[in-house]
Amino acid sequence: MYQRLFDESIGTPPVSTVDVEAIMRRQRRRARLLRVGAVGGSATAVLAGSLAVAMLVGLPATRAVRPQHLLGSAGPDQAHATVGGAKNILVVGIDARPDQGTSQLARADSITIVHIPAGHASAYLVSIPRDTLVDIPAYSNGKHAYPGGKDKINAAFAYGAMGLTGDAARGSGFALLARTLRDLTGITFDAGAVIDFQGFQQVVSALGGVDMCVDEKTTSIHLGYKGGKLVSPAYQLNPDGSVSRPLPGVTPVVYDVGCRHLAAWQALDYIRQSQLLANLDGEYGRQRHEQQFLKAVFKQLTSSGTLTDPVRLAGVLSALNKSVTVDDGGVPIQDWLYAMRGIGADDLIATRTNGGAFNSRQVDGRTYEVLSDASRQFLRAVRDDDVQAFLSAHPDWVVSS
Amino acid sequence: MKRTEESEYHEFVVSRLEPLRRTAYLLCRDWHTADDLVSITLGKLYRHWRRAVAAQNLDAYVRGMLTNAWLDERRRPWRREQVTDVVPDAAVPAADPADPAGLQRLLEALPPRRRAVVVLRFYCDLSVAQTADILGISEGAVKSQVARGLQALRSLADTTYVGQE
Repeated sequence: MYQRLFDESIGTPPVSTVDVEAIMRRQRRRARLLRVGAVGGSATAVLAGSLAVAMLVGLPATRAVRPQHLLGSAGPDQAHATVGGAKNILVVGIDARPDQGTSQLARADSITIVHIPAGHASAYLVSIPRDTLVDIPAYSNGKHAYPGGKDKINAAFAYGAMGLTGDAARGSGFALLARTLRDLTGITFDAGAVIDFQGFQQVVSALGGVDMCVDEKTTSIHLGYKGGKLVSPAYQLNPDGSVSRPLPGVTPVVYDVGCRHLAAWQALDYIRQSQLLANLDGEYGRQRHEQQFLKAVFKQLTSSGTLTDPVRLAGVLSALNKSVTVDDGGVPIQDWLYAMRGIGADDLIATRTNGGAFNSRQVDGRTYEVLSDASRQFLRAVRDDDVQAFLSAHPDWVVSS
Repeated sequence: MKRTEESEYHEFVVSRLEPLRRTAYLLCRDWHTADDLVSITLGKLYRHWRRAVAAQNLDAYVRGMLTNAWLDERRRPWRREQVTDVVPDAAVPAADPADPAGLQRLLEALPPRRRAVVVLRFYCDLSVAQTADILGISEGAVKSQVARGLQALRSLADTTYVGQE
């Protein structure tokens, strides 16, 4: 009965300004943003992982990556770029050592196409073997003109970058590589990123290492222990680049099979190895490890532990800024993130080009890889956004975990 | 939130909007703030809908959220006590049966927690135990907080509604 008394004393309330629909819209958006952050964001495992973070921290991360024009004429028509439909993103890992002079060429050590089907619900990681024999088109970067010719695909980056340094070198190298791939596969890239793996070690350090599974016993030829200290290299190499034997007194670092936490230096060293892999799958093993690593980093980047720790986050972003260069293909990075928000770490699907087996050919005394017919079919499926069907017919091309 | 949950939420919110606004108004004595408090509460409710639905009494749960939103709001710097040249303490004005606004003045004179107790206990018709639970205070505290306002309320109610119920 008091209730009536109160109601009476209140009188007639003014018209409500509580907008329930707006509240629901706001909360829905918030939930989505959290999903982008917490579960995962988008495609290029590394590049976008950092950006998913960005949405939560506001703008700093979109500033933390440096958008640059990488794709050159191999890119999309920028005036009409949108995030709708299937997307292909070229991610190139280069191994530029800090002491490397301008005379030495940075090679593209890992070439990965991130294919996102039209539904934007998953992303496929497709590696191109770095020793693949391809036609590289003629290209001039202003300092140096490359006449075109047949070579390993990782040389395309080096030819494009020849004579240039820093961002200009990366830009030109990337552009020639993208053009070579377009000629090879018919795929035009909607965005791209260059990851400097040496610098990327700092990103992984800032993340506090990475949890990943070693799927074959791997012996490092680069790192070993001598008298309790880490030394490099661990192995002597023959003149032809093949592995000879450990340096005297050096015990090489070995990565045993199993899931564990790897420190940054361990992870980066592990994914670099292609020579002493237990299954002798060489370059293909390396690609697989690299894809598994990218997935693991993506997972770590988007884990709540990273997102909620401002100190760690700031470290990660600053390290990303130093080691990743991005071409957003004319679409703002925020839009990319938003469009790819449904893709979590578990939606990244690693695949085996050439079925994960060598398909080598000798030309003029050098060994090259060639794409098998099935691989060409696979890349056509990527171009035509029909990967699902291809992989259903080739289930062993999907890398588990 | 799934679609079915969302429609449940929507239905609940729409049906309870007016009572919630009134409760908020009684607490904060200002319609703008009241609508703000309700909006804050509904936002939180959306986020914690599953937990809220699992609660024994959804209405009591939501009123608890609202009360806490108001108490939180009062702790904000711009709502803190200000130095004035007028002595803020004054005797609780006697409720005049002929003037329903007297009840409002009475509420106004109560300090925040006591006002919350009175509103929850008498306007929302919660038990002593429920009120104590929402505010996180003991039942004894609820009873003592209520005691002072009760007398005035009762006399007002008796004279206004004699013979009606």
